Amino acid sequence: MALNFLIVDDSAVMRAMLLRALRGSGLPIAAAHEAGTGNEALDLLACHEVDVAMIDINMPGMNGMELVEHIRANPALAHVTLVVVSTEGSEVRIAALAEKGVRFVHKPFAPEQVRTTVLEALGVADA
Amino acid sequence: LPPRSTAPSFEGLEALLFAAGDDASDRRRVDAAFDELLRDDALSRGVRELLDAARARWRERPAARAGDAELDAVRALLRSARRRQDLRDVVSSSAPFAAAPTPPMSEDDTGLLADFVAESRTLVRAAAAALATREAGPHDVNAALRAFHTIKGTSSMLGREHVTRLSHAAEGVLTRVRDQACELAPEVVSLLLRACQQLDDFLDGLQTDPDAAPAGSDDVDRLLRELEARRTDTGSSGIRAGPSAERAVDPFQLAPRNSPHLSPLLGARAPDATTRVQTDRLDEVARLVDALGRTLDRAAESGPEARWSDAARVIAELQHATAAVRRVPIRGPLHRVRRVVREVSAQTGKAVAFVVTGDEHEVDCGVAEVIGEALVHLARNAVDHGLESAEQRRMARKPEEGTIRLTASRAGDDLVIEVADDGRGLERTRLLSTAIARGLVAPATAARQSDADVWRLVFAPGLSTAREVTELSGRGVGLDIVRQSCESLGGAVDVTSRPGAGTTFTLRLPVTDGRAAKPRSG
Repeated sequence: MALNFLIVDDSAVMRAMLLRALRGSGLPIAAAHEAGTGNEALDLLACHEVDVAMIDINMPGMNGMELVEHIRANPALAHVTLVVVSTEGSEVRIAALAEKGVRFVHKPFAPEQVRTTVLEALGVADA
Repeated sequence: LPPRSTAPSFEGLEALLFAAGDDASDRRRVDAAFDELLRDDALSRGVRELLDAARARWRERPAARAGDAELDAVRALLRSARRRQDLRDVVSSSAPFAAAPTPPMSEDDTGLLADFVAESRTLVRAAAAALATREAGPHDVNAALRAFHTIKGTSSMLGREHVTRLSHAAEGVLTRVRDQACELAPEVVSLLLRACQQLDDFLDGLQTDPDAAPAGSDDVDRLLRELEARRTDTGSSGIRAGPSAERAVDPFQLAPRNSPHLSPLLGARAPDATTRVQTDRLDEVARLVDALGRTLDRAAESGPEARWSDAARVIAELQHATAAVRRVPIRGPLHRVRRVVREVSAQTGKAVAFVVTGDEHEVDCGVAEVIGEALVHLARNAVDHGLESAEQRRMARKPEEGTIRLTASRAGDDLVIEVADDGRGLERTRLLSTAIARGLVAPATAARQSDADVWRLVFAPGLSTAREVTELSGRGVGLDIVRQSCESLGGAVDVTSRPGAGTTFTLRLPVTDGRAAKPRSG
């Protein structure tokens, strides 16, 4: 059984790139939902069972960090594993995210990095 | 609950949860099913965590009916755990993964690149529009910041380093503006707009030839250096005095005469202004200086009279050669005009074809500078005021896309540049009534004015011809300043117009800079 993904990024091009990276990573993908804003992401999460949400930080309106907070504050979304995808990868930010159980993928990313990080986030040791 | 017949599984547990009531025996059976699942040593950490979480939620949930929100959450945890459990099996049979292709995004998908160019172009224009907004506020700064940030991210994915570097540099400056470490002063805005224009040019390049790595250019290097200087600058101009310091941002306002945008027009040249020179022209100057030296030596030996005419001839040649050193093709300044047309076109939503002919003609670099500024004004006015909206053009049975033709040609010692639009043309009645209101024309003589005289009223100081006060051109259209700067170079400017068909401005400028030889008049 394959995983359900949600890709949240205000850039349609970046979403397409992330989807390509996911497909290239060999991770089994059942559904890949896309959201252009934090609110769209929350709407999708409310009606689809998403295993992994890949979230951009820099978005208009609700930014990625706020979206992470929203998801974490909702007990009904406890099953969603969060991965932040951003160019802004300071040590402090990555550490702060790790404390919330959120992994980090640095842009630009290669499919291997996406695979490794998603598997780590899912708590699955890579082969 | 029905008696259990099969070994516990994720599906079994889920069914159990669905059917379980609140009595003690049902609870024990669910608990036992969780225990059995968790007993599997091969569970991955992630699956175990989700199962633990599901069991905790199950135990802690208030007594309630099956199907309530709490139970939904437990089942969601359980289902996600099951999908991850399956993932482990797939991952451990590593063959298909090890062989998984890892396509470099830069190479194999021109569709992605085309999408990138289109998206980035929209973002660049949004950033330029936000920055050019009168009284740009935090919202505009953030919008521009995000645009550069996004372009940085996507371009880096595609390995287009030149785009990444420039958008990163612009983002850095805007980050400081956002953090109030740097004021959005007019010169910062214009620097960032230059970055927008350069990015737009890069996108043009990628569109034409996706694989073209742009040759390093001095302009780009300088732009990057200036952006970097703004980003790291801690002590000089452009720094906000305090969070409440007044901002004065209006990159397009033409009214104040001391605006940095107008300084080249008004003859104030930066002390360190530079130009590029063809080396053969410098060689020619050096050769002539040598020749002059030899002529003077011989004059000292053989008596002056015979040699004065030789010396005079060499000096004349030397003057000629020095002027040649100072001459540059007008292509350089026209590049900037082209960008401005594109920018204003984006901001006004008017489609514009910009057609340039004769950009190989050369003028003195000082004249070129003035021409550049004057043409930027004329081109901006042409798009902003000269061309009608798409709607109006449709109604006038014109093509929706307006055309602006810039034509340069030589006429004797002068360079003649025409800027012609196919827009609405000047309106005699409106120009005259404004001029009368401003006291420029006596009401009694108004009817006797020829059309040509009426059109020339646009060069009168303070006469605005814009029906609407737009963000782009402000109130004054600045044509009086264009005229003044041309005349200060010994040139002239004129205008002709046909109502409904368009307006043509003509600049006539000396190819050499008259200012270099004679004292400047105020």
